[in-house]
Amino acid sequence: MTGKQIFWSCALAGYIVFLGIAMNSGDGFGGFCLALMQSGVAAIVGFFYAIFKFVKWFGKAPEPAERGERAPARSVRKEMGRLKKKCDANTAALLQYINDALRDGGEEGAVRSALLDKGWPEELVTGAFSAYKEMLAKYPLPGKGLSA
Amino acid sequence: MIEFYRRLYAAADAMYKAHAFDRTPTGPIIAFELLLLAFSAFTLFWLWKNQKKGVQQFLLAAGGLFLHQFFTSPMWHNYKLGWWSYLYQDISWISTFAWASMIMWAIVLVDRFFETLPDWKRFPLYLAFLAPAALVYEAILLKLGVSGYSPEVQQSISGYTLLGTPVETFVYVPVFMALVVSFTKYWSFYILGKPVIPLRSRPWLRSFSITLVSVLLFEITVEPMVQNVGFPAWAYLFHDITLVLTGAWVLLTWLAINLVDKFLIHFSLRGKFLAYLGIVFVGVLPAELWLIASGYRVYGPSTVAAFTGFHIPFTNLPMEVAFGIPLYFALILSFVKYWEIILDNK
Repeated sequence: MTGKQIFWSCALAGYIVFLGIAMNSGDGFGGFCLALMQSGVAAIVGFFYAIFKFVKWFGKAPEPAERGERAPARSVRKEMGRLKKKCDANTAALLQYINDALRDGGEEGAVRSALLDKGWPEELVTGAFSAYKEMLAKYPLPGKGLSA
Repeated sequence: MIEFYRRLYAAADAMYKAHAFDRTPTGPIIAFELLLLAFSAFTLFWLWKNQKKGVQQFLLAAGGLFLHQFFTSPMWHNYKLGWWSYLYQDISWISTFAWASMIMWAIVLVDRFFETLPDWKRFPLYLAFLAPAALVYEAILLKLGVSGYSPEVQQSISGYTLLGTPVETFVYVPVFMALVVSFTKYWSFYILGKPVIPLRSRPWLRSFSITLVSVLLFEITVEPMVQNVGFPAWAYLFHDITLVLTGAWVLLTWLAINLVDKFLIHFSLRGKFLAYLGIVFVGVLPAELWLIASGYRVYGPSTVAAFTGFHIPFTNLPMEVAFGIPLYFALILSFVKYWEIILDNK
């Protein structure tokens, strides 16, 4: 579990407990908590999240290689977003599937034949694979999927 | 601003007093709650250690359950659990976590021991595992005096019991679990980044059949909450479930799914889901308004009693109904899409 996940889990758990108290305490306390919840919780969570992000940014930024797969994966995700915007809807859908399937451990041949089985034209599938490979040449995913 | 909070305070206080019920727990109830908490904590710890994104999946199951509990809560009550255990009116977060734990164990055990089976064959096994567990859980809650049913539910059940629990539990639990398990599994695809193959041509007929099953399952679970009156006699299928309304919801859901999947094929699972929900909401909201105003849809006394009294501005639509629409359609849509995905990704 990463720090971010722990933070959000704690925030969610705290919010649920808070909501429970607010709804059930009676004697007007519920109303007070509801009012506080309206304005306070979002501000508190936002404030701590901003500090958390700032500390992370201010600290020594690790090299992409030290951060394992996260940095390249993020680059691929961003590049995928850019690429999908340039294509038509069908090619964008194929690109997303190719990316997900290869990252999930699928082989290129199997992914290609699965798409052809679903009736996708060969030129469209080949085009999507070429675009994906071009992108991977710029942002290789370490140890997974296919390489350029 | 202070005046706003003062009014909010007064509204919350009035709401609390209007929905007051016995929250004082007995010794055995506290002991049972501690047992449920330990069970949930153990489940969470095990999932965290052994299952990829297990905690998130647990929260998904709890979220799906809460959606269902939120709009079906007028059908039964959960009293005497102590002030600390209630989340909204008489919905208990301890109970939600216990149900979520049962769901996660059903999914984990079936997925591990029947790994070779395709998803669509595993699905009934999840429900077969959950039905007896739910029966025992419900029997304990009834014995402790925590659980009980609204007069509308008591009217609609046969009176036969098993372990002190209505036999209808055997039908009800698989039906509502089918919706909640589908919700959990559908969003698991999203959080685990599972590949979902895009379809060149949509299987419209198959999609219609799955949508029909999904809407009917849902209608069965909420049947005692609302009366559909004034429809021609031929339109009634079972109790007050009507061909007209069920047909309209099926048609709308089916069209929303197929149009989004055709024209927004490049959207992520999350984006598509929001689009389905948006289309359905835009269609159902005015229909629900018209049906209530024309007297075709009459909410039962227990449901009306659970309403907070807030309405959508300039309408007579209770806030709970407006919120309920996207919540219950979230379960219906998840069921349809989960089945489509597992049938297309064998």
